[in-house]
Amino acid sequence: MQPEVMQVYQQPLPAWIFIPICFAAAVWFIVNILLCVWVYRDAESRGMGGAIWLIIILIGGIVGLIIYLVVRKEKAGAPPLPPTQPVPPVLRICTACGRVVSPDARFCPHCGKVLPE
Amino acid sequence: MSPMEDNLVQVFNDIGRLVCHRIPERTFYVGGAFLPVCARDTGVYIGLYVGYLLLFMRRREARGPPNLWVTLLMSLPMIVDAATQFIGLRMSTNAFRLLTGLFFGTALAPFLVYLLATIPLSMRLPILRKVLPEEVILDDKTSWLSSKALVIGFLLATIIFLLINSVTGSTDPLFYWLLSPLIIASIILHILLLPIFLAISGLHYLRRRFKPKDKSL
Repeated sequence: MQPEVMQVYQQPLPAWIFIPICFAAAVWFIVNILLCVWVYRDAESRGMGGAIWLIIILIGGIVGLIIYLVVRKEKAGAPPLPPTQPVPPVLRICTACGRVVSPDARFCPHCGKVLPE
Repeated sequence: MSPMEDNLVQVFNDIGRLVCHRIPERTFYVGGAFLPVCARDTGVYIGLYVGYLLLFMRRREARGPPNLWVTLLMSLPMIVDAATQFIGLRMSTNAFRLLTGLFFGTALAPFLVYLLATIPLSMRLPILRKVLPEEVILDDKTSWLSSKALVIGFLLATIIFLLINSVTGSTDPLFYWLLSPLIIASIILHILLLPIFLAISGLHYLRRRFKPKDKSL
């Protein structure tokens, strides 16, 4: 069986279809711009030549972004610190009576002993 | 096909026409009609479904993107295939276009979802918070989706390729009606619904960003 020949003249698309088309196109356009801006600033902050990467993203789109994320250099300066453990409050014990005293107390309020600095 | 089916085929073709060149030599003819989009686009739109399946294998405690090297490796064949043909170096085949498109779609879906997750939790649409409760950090070294999971995706995509490729010569309309609705649904989801979602997300983000005191988390 011969495949049907695609109509050379196709029905024109209904006019209303262009509303969602234009909306979708506008959103993707904005997303692309935002992406370019982000990559430009990120590349500049890593000393990687934002302008070149901007062009790569413009041409390459999402694949350009993947390439950028793969090859981008570590940020200059220390790597992010691991999350620190919450520091427990310092407790101070009176050496004479063993009760808890305030860290900046000069003498123990319980037994009156003068506390070392 | 019946007149009603013919009308539906026409609707599918019109939707496909919006996003694809549909050059006859580069479009599969299945079960009495051309598919809505060309072979490469067929691969991408179907591949996206495979990619979403892979998300079940993601590591929620990891914060970094899906393994970027494998994502890139799976995206490159399509780029190379299209580019070498475009510059006249070689002519591709529909099978190759389908295969490379499937790989690209499979790798793309988890990456796209990850990008959505980079929106901070407090600025995310509530529905996205439910679906993607984790916060992610682009610089993190742990992969959201391991290379192993992506390789499984690669294998799944190959299986899907073999399945689709085996039916593209068929005259049975069943295969057209199996493939085309899937393709059309994928087109509507990614070309229309996703921008709507992005637009709403963007507005929500802006609202939270510039009026933090009025809105409760």
